[in-house]
Amino acid sequence: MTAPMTQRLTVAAPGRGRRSRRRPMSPARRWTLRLASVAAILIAWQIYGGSINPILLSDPSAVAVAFVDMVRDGSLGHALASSLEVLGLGFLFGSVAGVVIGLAAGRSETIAALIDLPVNALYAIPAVALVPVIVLWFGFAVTTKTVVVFLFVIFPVLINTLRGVREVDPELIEVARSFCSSERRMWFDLILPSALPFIVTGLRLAIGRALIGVIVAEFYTSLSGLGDLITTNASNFQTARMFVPIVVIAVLGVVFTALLELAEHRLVQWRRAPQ
Amino acid sequence: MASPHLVLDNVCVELGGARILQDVSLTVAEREFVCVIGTSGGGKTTLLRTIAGLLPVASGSVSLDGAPVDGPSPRAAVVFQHFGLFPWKTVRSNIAYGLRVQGRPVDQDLIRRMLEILRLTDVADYYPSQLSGGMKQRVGIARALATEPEVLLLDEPFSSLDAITRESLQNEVLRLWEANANMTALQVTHDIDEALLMADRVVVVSGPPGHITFELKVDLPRPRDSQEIRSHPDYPRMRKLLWDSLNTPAAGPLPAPGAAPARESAPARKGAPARPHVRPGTAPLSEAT
Repeated sequence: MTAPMTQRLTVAAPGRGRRSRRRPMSPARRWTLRLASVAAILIAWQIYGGSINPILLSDPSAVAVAFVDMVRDGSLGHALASSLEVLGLGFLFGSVAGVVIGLAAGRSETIAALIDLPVNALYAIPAVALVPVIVLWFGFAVTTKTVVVFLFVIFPVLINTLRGVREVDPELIEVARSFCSSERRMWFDLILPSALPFIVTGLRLAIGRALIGVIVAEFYTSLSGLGDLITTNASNFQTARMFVPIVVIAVLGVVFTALLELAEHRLVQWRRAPQ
Repeated sequence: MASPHLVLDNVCVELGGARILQDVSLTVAEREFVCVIGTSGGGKTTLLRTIAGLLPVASGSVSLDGAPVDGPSPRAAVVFQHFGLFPWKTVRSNIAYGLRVQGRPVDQDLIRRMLEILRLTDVADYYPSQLSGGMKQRVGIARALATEPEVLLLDEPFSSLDAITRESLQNEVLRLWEANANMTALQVTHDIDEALLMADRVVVVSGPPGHITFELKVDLPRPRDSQEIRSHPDYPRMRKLLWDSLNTPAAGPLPAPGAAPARESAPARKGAPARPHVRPGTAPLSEAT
């Protein structure tokens, strides 16, 4: 009988797919390249920035000195705490609202139709344009900045979540139905797991936008936060000190994105299962 | 024949306003293996999905032991052509899915037995993306069997597999069914050899709209095996019968007075006459091709 032999053949089959493809870069090499690009930028900045008026550009070593100063005098820590508070609250509310509305609209044609035009209209308006109105409504307090971040965050999350729910494999829905799945079970067995990669993508887009939102909100409204450090130092021609919050924002962006990638890696492990 | 188990009575099905099935009547006995064969687009998969309760009937009725089928039932389980595995579940939890979703206790012994029977023990903790097509369909079959269905519905279960894997899985499913005391099976296929290997009775569906044009009782001895069955003296004749019935234009009965059903009798092994049951009003087989 042919069965046992076929069995062995099919067991041997998995594993061929990956090897034939381009070999993935080793982590050591990838990190060398990553750090080399940063080093190249810093060196170029140091050379060029050192050769011109420090008010125009400054240079990395001066920025480093300013960084230490600002940590010591507490101005950086204070601003960072203020910005992170706004970032955290806005991101939390925005992403929760985006996921919830996205899931609801993905499953209900009625809700999808209801939110369709408002969402597309609001998404098309640059959120910056709404800041003056938000200030009118909420004043200059933390609330205003949180609302601005919320507006920057909600749309990429909502739109990606909605897409994730829409992309659920209809064949798998039929499988679930054939095994007599209830609608509630279908959410946990099928809809959430398949939408999850889309949701994480939305959150990753939202992180970058949330950082923009924080700085924009602080430019317009506040006398605190990293955004305020930038404007204050810029108007005092303290260029090196002005660059410190900018670099901090860049680092925040890299760190948050890495954290989300880590979370994604954990959550959608099945996608990366060794072939 | 045993008492009627699964009964389709003048079933018509419409999808998006188009009629896909037209007056399909079929009675399947308990523990019978019926293959529905037809060319693609003929409505045979629609027939299976209707029996599974996944599609509503426009008119007519489907019933199981006299109870109308108006939605998916835990008494039936489906094996899909596209496997239909959850990519984020391991082999083990894919197999347990049916039980879990039906709120039944997940008996680990049963899961272990299913893994063993379908030779999946070594890959129990793999994800579907790590499996070959044949292994994926083993998982699909194990998932269906784990719910211990009275009716197993197989929708072209082997058609996306390579020829060698297909044949070995056909034999395995056949053995599983032959060993199972009271499971009725209905399989959709477009493969004549597969139909003759698996079925007690082959039903030809032609369309659109799909309707039954021919039935053949396959009285070949069991247990069967894909290699041995082809050397059976009745095999070529039965194969030709099905081939001709599939190649007869489906639209309307053809005038072919010479082709009497008696001509196609296939001598039976175990006494009972194995005559193809040609339905009245359906296209008979024509000698002239």
